Amino acid sequence: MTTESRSTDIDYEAFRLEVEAFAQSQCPADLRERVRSNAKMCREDYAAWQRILNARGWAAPGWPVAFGGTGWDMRQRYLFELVMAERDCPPQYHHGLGHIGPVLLHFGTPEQHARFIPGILDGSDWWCQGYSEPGAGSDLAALKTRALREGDEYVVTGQKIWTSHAHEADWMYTLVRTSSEGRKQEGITLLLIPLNSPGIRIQPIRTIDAWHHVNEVFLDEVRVPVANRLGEEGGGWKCAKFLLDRERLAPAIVVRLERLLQQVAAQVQGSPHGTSAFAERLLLAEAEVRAARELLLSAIDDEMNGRLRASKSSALKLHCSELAQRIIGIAFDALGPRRAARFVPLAEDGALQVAEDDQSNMIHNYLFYRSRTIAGGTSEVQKNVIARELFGA
Amino acid sequence: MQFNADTMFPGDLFEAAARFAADSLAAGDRAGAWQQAVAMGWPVLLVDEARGGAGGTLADLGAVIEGCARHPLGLPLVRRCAQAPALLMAAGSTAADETLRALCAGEVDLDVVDAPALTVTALADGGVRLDGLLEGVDAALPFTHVLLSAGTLQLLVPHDALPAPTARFVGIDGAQIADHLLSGLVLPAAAVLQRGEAARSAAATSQDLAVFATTLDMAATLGATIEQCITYLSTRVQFGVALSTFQVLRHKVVEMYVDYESASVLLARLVADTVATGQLAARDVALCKLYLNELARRGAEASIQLHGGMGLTAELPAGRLARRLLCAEFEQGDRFTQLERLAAEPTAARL
Repeated sequence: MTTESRSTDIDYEAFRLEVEAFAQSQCPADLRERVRSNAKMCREDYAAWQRILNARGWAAPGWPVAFGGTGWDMRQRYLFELVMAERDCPPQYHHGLGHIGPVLLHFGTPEQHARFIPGILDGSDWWCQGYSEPGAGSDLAALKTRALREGDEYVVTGQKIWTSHAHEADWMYTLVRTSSEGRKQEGITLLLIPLNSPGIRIQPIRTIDAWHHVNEVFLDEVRVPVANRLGEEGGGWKCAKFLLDRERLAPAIVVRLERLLQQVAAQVQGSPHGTSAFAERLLLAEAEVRAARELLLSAIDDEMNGRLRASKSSALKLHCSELAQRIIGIAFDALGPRRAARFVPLAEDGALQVAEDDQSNMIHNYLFYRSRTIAGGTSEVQKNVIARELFGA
Repeated sequence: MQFNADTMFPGDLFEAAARFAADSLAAGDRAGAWQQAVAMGWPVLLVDEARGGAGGTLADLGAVIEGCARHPLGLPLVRRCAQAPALLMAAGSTAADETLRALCAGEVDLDVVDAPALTVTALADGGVRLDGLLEGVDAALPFTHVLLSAGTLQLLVPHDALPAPTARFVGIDGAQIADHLLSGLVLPAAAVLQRGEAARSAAATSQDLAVFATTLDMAATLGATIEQCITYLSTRVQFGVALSTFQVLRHKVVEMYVDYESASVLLARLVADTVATGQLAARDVALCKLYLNELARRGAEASIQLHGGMGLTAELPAGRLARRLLCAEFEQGDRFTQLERLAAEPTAARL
């Protein structure tokens, strides 16, 4: 019945204490303050923390030891993320470690391993994801960016959109269409494209949260060496599926919720309406956060025993992303009456200024969190996955 | 393969309870079903063998409640199999011990009523006089005594000492209760099972168990409700296709499923913690009930909507389950009761 009943040789409590001691002593105070205040994190913040983790040998909690990872099991990864959240340490930048990294490990050549893995581990190479296009969002296989083979190069032309961090990244792992024959999934190939290549133009997309996350990336006859192709030509969909299957469980999304609720509860203390006006919602959120934690632990147990169902991991994603919105919505109600009209301060010359106080960050995050139920598989896509299992078709 | 709600308490007892509930529901004889439940020892399931009980665990109680919840009969399992024995065991008096012995011997059958509004007057001989409206006494199933929590007293009131009911009601889920107007009902000192702080503490302990048992009932009922919805949507054809092909309906079921999974894991954690510590954490129990109240209402309303006009019919299994969910929300404390219990402790400190 308990989700933590599996016998093991690992002393999880000792492990947790070790991680706590590390977080306490090694994470710089300024970084922790930025995390605590829910400020917008940028490459500089993430990279600083990644260097520290790399020096400790903890750069890649989800990777095997042979490739520089920790070799931790899922429970250790959960404890690591839990302590990181409790101590306000930054999350790790996911595009390298969590997304393209595992695909590289599985599908990459030895030369590609040697070229790309060290830069992911030490944070010197920064990656972004070139998947979505104006006509290919949830229906990703409809993508049209084309790559024509010319000798030892592909010539890539097209447009990517919603490309997070492209403005601060060095590389974009990019799904392109190399064939229009057969099923649309079969003509897709995965290329690793340097963002300083001639023909690439990155244009920011202004989003409602007034933070710069996402971009449009225009590719105009960009020449990419065939050596930068990951997997077979036409094998891009397999790579993308591999990533989705592998990243079914992400402990970080749960543990950060726990911290967020604590912060929101603190913000509500100062509300002119008083805390009692929010008591029921906070308590329900507490119950839901606890449920999320138990769902995660149960899913980890299932994963470690090879029986994790897609419906459970999708349920976890669905529950957490919608819960995150409900929690931040409480802060929005508490702070909105004053802060909604005072969202971003203006300088004398009319320029937008950056306000990074806790209350401003909550409002930014309320708007930013709308993306939680859209990015990484919309809630509707998750529901389709679950429904297929519930109904058996 | 379609969804089947997992049980939190798998094993023979769960299977037997589910079969018993299905058979009893088909037979339509609640009184007979309750007699069978008594014969199976369910009212003393939680009582130690040394005291004459079945020596069962919290998981055994959970298996019985979960099994029966799948085919709601309206048996008073929470009151009579959880709250009553827990109250007697926690009371810790000679009179309570004697009542517990009698319960184990099958000499008494106990209903439990909380009656804080009754006026209780202490008598010189140690007895008490009761005045006021005693509400919510079982009006359908036989019992010999009422275990009454009145203020800081716990009392054992013989059924035949009660006056005729002033009113009787059928609840949304079909359970029947009666109100009795007590005018100077005198009970002897021997009827007082416990007084003062000890009585208050015993009442609190037994109520925590009753609240917890109710949440188990609610989660299991929600699971059974989802099964009914999926079966209905998969077989009901409209516009030439099964309703289960409509995305909006499928997504509604998914929302119920995520609620159910969340409730199940939360309760599983509460059970595990209780086994580890030896006691139910009152705050955790109240938080679970607050949460389950929300999910139960949502699940009942969704089920009725998904069944369309059929969801409004009284005899459909889904209708029975929905009505049970709606009732359970108010049993052992509605949202306001739980909020009052939780108000004493700040949220963030407990995560």
